[in-house]
Amino acid sequence: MIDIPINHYSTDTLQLMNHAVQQWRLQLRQRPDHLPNMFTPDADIYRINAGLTEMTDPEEEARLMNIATNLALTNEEVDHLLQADSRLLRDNLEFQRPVRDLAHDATTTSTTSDTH
Amino acid sequence: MGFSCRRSGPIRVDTNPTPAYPPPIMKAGHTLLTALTRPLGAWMVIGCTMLLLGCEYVRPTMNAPLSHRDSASGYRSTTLPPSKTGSSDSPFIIASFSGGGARASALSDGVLQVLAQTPIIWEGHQKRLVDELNIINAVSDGSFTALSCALYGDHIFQDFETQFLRKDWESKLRCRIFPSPSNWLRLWSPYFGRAHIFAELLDEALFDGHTFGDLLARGQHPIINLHASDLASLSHIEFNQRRFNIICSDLSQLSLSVAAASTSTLPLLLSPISMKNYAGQCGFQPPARFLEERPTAWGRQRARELRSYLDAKNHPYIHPLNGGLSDNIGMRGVLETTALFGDLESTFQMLGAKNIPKLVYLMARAETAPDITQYRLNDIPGLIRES
Repeated sequence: MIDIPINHYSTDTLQLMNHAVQQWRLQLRQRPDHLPNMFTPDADIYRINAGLTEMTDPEEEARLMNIATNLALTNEEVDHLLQADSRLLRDNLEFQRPVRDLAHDATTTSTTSDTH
Repeated sequence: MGFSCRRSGPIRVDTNPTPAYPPPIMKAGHTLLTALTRPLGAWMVIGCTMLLLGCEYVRPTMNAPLSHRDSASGYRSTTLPPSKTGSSDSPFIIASFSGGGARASALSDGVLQVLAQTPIIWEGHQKRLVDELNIINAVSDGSFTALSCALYGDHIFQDFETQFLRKDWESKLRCRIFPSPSNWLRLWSPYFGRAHIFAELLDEALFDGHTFGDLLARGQHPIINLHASDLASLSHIEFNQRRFNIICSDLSQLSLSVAAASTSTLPLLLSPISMKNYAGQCGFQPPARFLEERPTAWGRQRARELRSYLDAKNHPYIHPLNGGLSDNIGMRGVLETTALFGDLESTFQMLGAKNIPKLVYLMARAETAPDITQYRLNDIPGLIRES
């Protein structure tokens, strides 16, 4: 297996991103109403971490980790990756949350417009 | 960095240190004639001449100058409609596609497929999540998927697998180089590297001569911010017109294949593709945030890095390396830009957004987590680790 160790600081970036999103959420809640802003009053921020290292099945994760970071995948590896990617996002709770909130907003909007 | 052609000249045709006579040119002619009578010598002389010519003539300039800086034009968020469906007050998705070889390209393709298969209803209209994808920050091999998404739209789901994922690019690159004397000649130049040839391969297979100007002409989101790392500082370089204004270069004329190859280069494997710094030639005036004190250390560092490009005399060339060397996830640009602008509202004002109800940051990461307890390499450690 050939691996090029260039992702050493990715954990830092993830941590910084988590911290920043928390800060930005706070900023949105505390912003003054009278100033023009780019977000709606009830705006929310979501952060989705869809990484191959986040697979819940350890065997599946190990198989994925054994796929080299080169530019020559076998057909089997491509199939495996595409199937895993789909599950990775669909099963991700962080992904499900904005999808659920959007569905909820659509229902609320629809009910509100029906009553008017 | 390339190597000196003169220093690397493979043969010395005359080692006799003496004579001022015959004059050098005559001596060279004599040597040539002598060499031509001996097949091996002749080939060595011809080879040497070809190598010297290679150094002199293969010096491509990949990025074009910008004649006049215009804040209302060029490839950037504010020159595209707010979302694919034209609505300005809908969910705003910023994705990042990491590096990590073709596995990263596959992961990001899979993520796009899920977004395309996820229906949403917004203000009574049926949409898909992928329609609300506003920005993709792409690094290295994630950039192939991101650019294909922006260029081909939904057609990426039919073609990307066969045109990119299921091809052996490493063999293709080797086959393009080793049997080709013309490429040996080009590669001898210190200004031309394997990444240029990789860009040519990408262009033939995937991008078909298209440029960022073509993405702009499509007039649709997502906008793609490719991220590379500057060889001089390992700070990140963004491929969008807002950043290219600083170096007075017209991103619209840059080919997608060159940009994608630029973000994938690694020392020893794929050499950098040089970009020329034309700063000072287009009327660009640095904004106050470049010059004023910024509230955070991160903002100050970013301002300092960007200011360094303003002096084209002392910083005449830029050598983009793999974006993964500065940030393999692709979200540091978001963090640094927000630090530079000072807050989230100012950043999204710059992006031309308004009334955002939901802001989503989606990080598609194809990185590996190598088992470092099983590191048995006995060779001199290099950038490539075999385990």
